[in-house]
Formats: sequence, structure tokens, C-alpha cells
Amino acid sequence: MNSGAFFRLLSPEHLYFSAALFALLTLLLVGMIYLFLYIKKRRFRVKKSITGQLNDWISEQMTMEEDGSFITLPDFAPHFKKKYVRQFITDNLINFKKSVAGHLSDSVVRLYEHSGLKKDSEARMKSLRWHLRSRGIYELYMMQQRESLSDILDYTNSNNEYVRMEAQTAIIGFDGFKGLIFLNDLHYPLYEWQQIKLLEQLDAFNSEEMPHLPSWLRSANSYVVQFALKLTEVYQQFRVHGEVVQCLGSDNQKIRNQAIKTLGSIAHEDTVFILRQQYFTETIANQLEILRQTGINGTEEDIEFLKGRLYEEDDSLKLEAGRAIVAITPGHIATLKHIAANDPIIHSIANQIKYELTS
Amino acid sequence: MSAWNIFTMLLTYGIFIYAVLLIAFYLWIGLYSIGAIRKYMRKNSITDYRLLASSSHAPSVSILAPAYNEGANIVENVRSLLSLYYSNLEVIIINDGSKDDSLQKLIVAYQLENTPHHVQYKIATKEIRGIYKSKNPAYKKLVVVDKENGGKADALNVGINISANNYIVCIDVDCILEQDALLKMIKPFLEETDKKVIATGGVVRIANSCIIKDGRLVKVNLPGNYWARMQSLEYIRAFILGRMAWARMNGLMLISGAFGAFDKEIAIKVGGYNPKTVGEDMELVVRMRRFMEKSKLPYKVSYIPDPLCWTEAPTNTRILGRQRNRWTRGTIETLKFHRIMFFNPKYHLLGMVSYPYWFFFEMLAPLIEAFGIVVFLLMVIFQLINWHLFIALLACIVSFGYLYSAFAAYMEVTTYNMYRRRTDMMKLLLTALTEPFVFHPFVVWAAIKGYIDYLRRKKAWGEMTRQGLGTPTLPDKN
Repeated sequence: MNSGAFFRLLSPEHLYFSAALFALLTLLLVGMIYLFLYIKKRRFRVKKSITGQLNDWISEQMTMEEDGSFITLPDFAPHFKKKYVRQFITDNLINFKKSVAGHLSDSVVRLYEHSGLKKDSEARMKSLRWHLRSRGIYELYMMQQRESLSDILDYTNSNNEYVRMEAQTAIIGFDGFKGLIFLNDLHYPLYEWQQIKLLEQLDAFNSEEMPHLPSWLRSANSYVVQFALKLTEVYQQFRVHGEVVQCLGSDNQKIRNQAIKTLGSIAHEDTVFILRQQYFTETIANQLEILRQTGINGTEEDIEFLKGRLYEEDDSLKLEAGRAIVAITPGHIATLKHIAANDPIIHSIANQIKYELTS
Repeated sequence: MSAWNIFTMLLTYGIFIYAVLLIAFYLWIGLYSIGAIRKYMRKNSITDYRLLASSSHAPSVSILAPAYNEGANIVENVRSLLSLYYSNLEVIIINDGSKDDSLQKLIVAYQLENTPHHVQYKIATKEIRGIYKSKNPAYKKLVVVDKENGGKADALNVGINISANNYIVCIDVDCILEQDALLKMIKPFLEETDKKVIATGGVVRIANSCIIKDGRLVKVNLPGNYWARMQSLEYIRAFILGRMAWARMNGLMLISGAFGAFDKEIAIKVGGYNPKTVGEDMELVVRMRRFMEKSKLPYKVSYIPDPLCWTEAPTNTRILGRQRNRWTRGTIETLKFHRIMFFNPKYHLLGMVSYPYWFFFEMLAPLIEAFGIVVFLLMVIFQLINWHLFIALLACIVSFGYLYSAFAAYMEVTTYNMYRRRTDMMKLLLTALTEPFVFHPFVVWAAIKGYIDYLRRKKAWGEMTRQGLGTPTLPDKN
């Protein structure tokens, strides 16, 4: 650009035009802000009235007999045609259902089905937009719509993480341990967050056989292996001890860490020996875990190994070794103190462990 | 062409290109943040965070809160931290050699006793005088460390050394956290895939004029004080737009020292906080990122837009000036420490985009603006100014600033809408009108003083006197 063209671009006319455009856009945004606030306030009033109706309806349901198969529907007209109103009612029903059980919960489900809200959820589940689809799955599952189960199952391996996670949650919610079948074909990550969520969900069911557990522990999907290890730990699946030991050879540090924890909960008489062998090839985080598990499952035979760990370079390993020694036999605090006489670090560690024992 | 002509031409073109790039960056930040916030809100609209609060499978977390002469509110602040929803939690308060009675108050209030505790100084720090714990089960999460005064970075490093958990959340002890703040901050770490999440930042909001009871935020009000209100708008722009856009691109270089979560292992590997800078929060994030880049490990710095942390903003020019002075020194120091990354392709996005952006548009901006003002004054004195062009240019720049502020306000209203009263929004927008003529020149002035102090090698933080976040009977006035 030559200087003439440049200064023409920077001419007052161009600049005033830009300023006017920016000012106009600013006014437009301010207008949109106030329009948004106005709409929000109007919707707030509608929502308040609907909340009142819902509360009345819930109070009425509470006083009804448990076998009341017929329920009266609250009259949400004239607002019911509005999409946001229906969404608001669905959200409220779900929240209410989370806190009740028995016939009240059934009444909420029937209201959801009879008022047409279920059709909204089904439409959302079939939407091409991921956030609507995951929300639809969530609503159908929360409202126990089992007939949607086969559709939801298809989504457990969806390439969209949010759709996939909701579908997995739904399947476990419906079928408990049987729902874990989706792990057989899972090609995508199963985040730690999702693993925690599924474990919490499974907690509500009675423990069942997991016939596919050995194959999950050998899965090519590292997330499935991690989750299977957690299942093994929580539900103490002693029969897969061999497969868990195999996991100690994984390249994935997280898998090995979980395998160490899991072995601690399904320990055989030779488990601590296996962990001791593993110790020398591990990262510090995993070595700490091995020491913890040795403290839980170890015997007098392991004391010498643990004493050796008191001379590790990392103080956290020394501390954990000291804890493990005392966990195996509390009387070994004297052994620690004996070693501490010549080593100020062990002295400091021994004092801490002694305090921990008494508190 | 004379040397003077070449100089003026370079200056004109240089400033023009600078201004165009700056506006382009702002436009990009504004537009790019929309997608990031929308996705975040959609994906978390049905998330039940409560399960993490009570789950035994949830990762263990240590909160690190340094305290220096916080005796006035320390007991209430700690109570607020102990009441956060999270079961696998350890709250470490580091008394950084306070001259007041902070420690004594904590000992009495929480029935603390000095305990034998072995500390490995993985990060070198000042000496620890004592570690206090309570035998009362109600306070079993609490650990109070008493140490020699060494500054905020040193205190945080002590916290890292003491911490027993894999994740650390560093906060200012006087901040008010939302009850579910930790649950939301830890979630990104639990969603990592092939990219390791090394840190998560959270939004900090202004708590002035808000109603706080028993350490909890009860009602959000727009600050009555002009300076605090202006900072509310500034924080909305910075946190909802700026950091969300940078985080979406994985180019975030700053997580506020008031509220950030870190992977402890990486924080230790890089040597913890740097006590030689007053911008220790930014410096740690940059160093962690640099470490990951050098190690060729895929990583991510995550950011969440929920308003989770509330802090008291300076309400007068004296304190605000000190704060901005310190921020400027911190930025210069951090960028100087890591100057090797400047347009260095080995550091990918960090070296080619994030660092240059901070260098040109955060660090140099006050200098360029101050230079512009000086040149303008000289041109006025020597009657060289083309007033017609000047007014047009000023109108253009000021109106763009208004547009950006209005956009930030729009994003706030359509997302978290913390200021619900229409009058509050009107006040905020009217305050924005004064920014180019009152607040912004002051901030530039404070930054220039920061440069001067940097050149004088001043290392002090500058005392940050606070009024305390209680229940205000009346909104504070300027």
C-alpha cells in the first residue's frame, strides 16, 4: 500500500463511518441486553406460576393413596405450547423425582408420559445436535423410559463424548451390572469422571457376576482396562487375579497404578511378593502405592524389604515404608526408632508415624 | 526522503498496524469465546457434580492458602474453606510469618496442636516453624503451617511440599469460594485423554457490595464504588471473553493467583512458584507449559467460566495503582524469564502466538499508549495536529472500546447473569462510558509506574489493604 492509499484509508470519513458502525453495533447490543432481560423476567413470572402449580400437584399426590392409578394432570395451559415451559416442567419433574421414591416417583413419571413431555425428550434424543441428543437421553433415563433402551444402547459407542457418556449412564441406570455390556465394544475414551459416575451408579445395585470382566481387563482400549480394574477392586473379583497381574506389564502408568491398588484388594498369599518384584521397575507414584499395599497385606516376611526402602532417596518413599512397617506390626515403631538413632530424617519420620498412630 | 520523514512514516505505519492487529485480536477473542462458553454450558447443564463430592473414588485435593496478617478474618475464612463440598480434601493454611495474631486465633478456634511432621523440601523454601493439626474430627481436614516470612510464592511452595495429594488448588485466603467450586475445578483433570491437563483456571469475580454471611456469598450486588464497578466490567471482559478464548485454543498463559488448580507432580518438577517475581501466578503457568513443550508431552491448560471465586477489589486509586504496578512488573519479569520462547517455533502456539500477544498487547501496550499521549501533547504544543483526523480516530477507537464492553456485558447477561437488576446493568454500561477517560488512563499510569519500579529493581508486592468482606450495611461509595 502506498502512503496515499494508506492515508485515504485513514481519512476522517472512513474513521467516522467505522465509529458510527461501532456505535450502532453497541446500541444494538445494549438493546439486545435489555430485550434479553425483559424476556427473562417475563419467563420468570411464567415459571413462578408453573412452579406453584407443580407444588400444588405434588402436595395433592402426597395425600393420595399409593395405588392411585389415575392421576389428575395440572393444567399448564396456556403456556404449555411454549418450548421453554415444557423444558422447565421436565427439569423440575426430574429434580423432584431425584428426591422421592415409591408412588410419588411413579406419579411424576406418569405426569411426564401423559402430558406429552416424553415425546419432547424422544425428539431431542433423535436430534442431530449433540447437546439436545444427550439431554434427551438423560431425560428418558431419569424418567425410566425403558422402551427407549435399545435406541440408547446404540449411542453408548457414539463418537460424541457427551452423547456417549449420557447413554452409558442411562444403560447402567436401567440395567445395573448387565448394562456394562457396552464395554465389550467401546472404541472411545471412558473418562475418569465417567468411571467415577458409573461406579457411583453401580453402588445402588446388588453386586452381580461380571462374566466379561477378564476380556475387559485384556481390552485394547486402555480406559476399559482401567475401569475393569476399578470394578475388580471395588467388587473384589478374586477370580481375575491373574489378569490383573498381567496389567502390571502395561506401558500405561495409570493402568499399572490401578492394578497395584486392585491387587491390594484381591490379594493372594503371593501378591505382596509380586508387588515387591514390580517395585524396582516403577515410578515413584506407583512405588508409593506398592508400599501402601504392602502395609495392608504384608507380613513379617516383608519387613526386611520395607526396611531397605527407608534408605530410598525420596523421603515420601521412606515415610510410606515406615508406615507400612508399623502397619504390619505396630510394635515395629521401636525398630524404626532404633534406625532413627543414627538418621535424623528417619527420626523425623518416626515421630510423625508415632503421632499418626495416636491420633 | 529525510530521516525525519522515514521516522514519521515508520511511526505512522507501525502504530496503524499495531492498532489493526490489536482490534483484530479483540474481535477474535470476542467471537472465539462464544463457542467455548456455549459448549461448556451445554455440556455441563445436566452434570451432577454432587456425586464427586461424596465419592470415595474422587481424587484427593489440597487447598493451599497463604496468609499474611489476615488476623481480622482468618477464622471465618478458614471456616468457609472447611465447608466446601468435597470429601477427599485437605485445607493447608500457610501463615507466612504474620506479625499479627493470625496463628494464635487459628490455634484457639480450631483446637490446634503442634505436631511432628516430616517435611521433604522438594522445593527449597524458608524454614517451617511448626505444623499444626486438630484432634477434633470436625477439623481433621485442616493443616496450619507456620513459617518464616518469605512472600506469597515461598508460602505456596511450602504448601506444595506439605501437601499429601495429587492436585493442589491455590487460592487467596480472603477469597470467597462457591460451595461447588472444587468439584468444578477438578472435573477437567478427570476428563483428560491423551493430553495431560496440567492446570485449570477459574473465574474470579468482584465481591465488593455483595452480601456475605458466615463465609458464604448470599447475594450478588454490583459494586457501589466506581473503581470496583469498573473492575467488575474489566474482569468480565478478561475472564469470560479473554481467557475462555485462549483456553479454547490451548494458549492460556495466565491463571489467576486467587484461584487455580494444578497437577502437583508437574508443579514440583518445574520447581514450584518462583519467589523472585511478583507475578508468580503467571510465571508458574508459563514454566509448566514450557516444561511440557520441552518434554514433548501433549498437554492442556483448562479453564472454566463459572463464577466460582469472589474477591475484594481495590476501591481507591492508591491500592489499585499498587496492584496494577505489581501486575506490570510481574508480566515484564515473566516474559523476560521466558524470552527464549519469543517467536520460537519449538514452542508451537505458546511461542508463536501466546507469548508475542502478551509481549505486544499486554506488556508493551501501556508504553505505546503513554508514548502516544506524549506525542499528542507535543503535536498540540507545536500546532502540528490535524484535529479533524484526531477526533475521527478517537471516535473510532473509543466506540470500538464501547462495543467490546457492550459485547462482554451481553455475554455476561446471556450466560451467568450475576447482575440481574436492570438498573445494575445500566450502571455497568454507564460506567463503561467513562472508562476511556478515567479508568483506562489511570491503569496506564499505574503500569508506567510499574515499569519505573521494575527498572529500579523494586521487588515489593506493595501493601494490599483490604476492608474485609463482611455484610455491608450500605453499598460502598467512592
